[in-house]
Amino acid sequence: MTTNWFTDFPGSWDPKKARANFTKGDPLYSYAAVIKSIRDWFYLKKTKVVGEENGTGVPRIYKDAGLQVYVDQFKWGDFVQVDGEPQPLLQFKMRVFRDRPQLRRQPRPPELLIDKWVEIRFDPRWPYKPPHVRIDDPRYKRFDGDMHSNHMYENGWVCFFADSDDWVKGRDTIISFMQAFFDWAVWHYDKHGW
Amino acid sequence: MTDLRINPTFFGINVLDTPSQINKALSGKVTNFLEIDLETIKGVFAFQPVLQVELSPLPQSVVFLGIKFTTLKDGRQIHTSRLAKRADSKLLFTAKDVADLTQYSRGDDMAGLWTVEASAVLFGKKVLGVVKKSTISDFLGSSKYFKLTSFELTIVPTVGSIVGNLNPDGTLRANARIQRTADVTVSMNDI
Repeated sequence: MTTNWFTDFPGSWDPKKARANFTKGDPLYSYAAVIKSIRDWFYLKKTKVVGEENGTGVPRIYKDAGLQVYVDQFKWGDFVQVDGEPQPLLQFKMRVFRDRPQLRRQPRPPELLIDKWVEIRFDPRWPYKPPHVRIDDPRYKRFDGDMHSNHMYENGWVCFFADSDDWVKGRDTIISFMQAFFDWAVWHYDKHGW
Repeated sequence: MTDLRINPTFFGINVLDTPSQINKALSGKVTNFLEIDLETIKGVFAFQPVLQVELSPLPQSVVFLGIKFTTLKDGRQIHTSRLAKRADSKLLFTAKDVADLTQYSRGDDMAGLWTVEASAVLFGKKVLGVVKKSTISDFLGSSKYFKLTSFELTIVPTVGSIVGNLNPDGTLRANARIQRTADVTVSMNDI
């Protein structure tokens, strides 16, 4: 029998099939807790369509990094095959702004670093292994330049976990994972200009 | 003959903590089409339907308005309650006989779609023969009603959010804890 970390649905998982328990496993890392945490952290609101949520126009502010993150749309109802098993796919339409210092004592509007769809794909070993994230844009997905200097894997998946203790279950969460992604996005923007 | 118009001006439910005690805070919160968290509503004794109607024009002869409240859980009928009042321009019906919900107090049994329907029947003195409680009750039990209005309440299982347990960088606080909900069924609809 197939077992998935995100549900105790018996047999092969089919998202179209009826009810299932999504609170399986550690309550800090269950699929339901992941979705609810993202909804609460980015001030999202459910729509009438299950698995589709909208932003409320309120940004999540990362004060230290000077970032304002608006998640305008969030989709979590799709699944992708990873190593022959279905895994949840999270999709975010997001805008990431960064504060700019004043110029001649005049405030300047924040600069827009990202205005794209971003996707997160789970590892079958979640929460013992982190998920994967990439910017859903041909420039990243078909990138064939120096992957090392861009901290990207093939197909644009971001690489920001160098050491085995960079992701620690019990300390890290889907929210701290997303913060690591924002740190990478800012670093990549500053280094490569996109 | 003039048509009698029955206009429901309010339909809601009182949340009862005991057969005789209204939970005012919850009753004020529960509105039609509301989605409410299981933890918030768990342990209540009953939902008591309350219907206000206006009748126009007021009939010249003695006419009664019978009301049937039907309570359904996930589309399955679990309780009915009937009562009648002599027609007047404004009438308030509060169900006396309510479904005992303590049987749903285990696990996530309360979770699901709760519907309360209000339907009506009008009748004159003539059909009763003698106007007394028993003849009214017999008539209400054997009549056909037409639907007036309905009320929907969705109770969703509680899913813990970890956000209250996070540091500003999204990592967990050292003593992070959320309530375990593994014994409830949380569908994609419920998340």
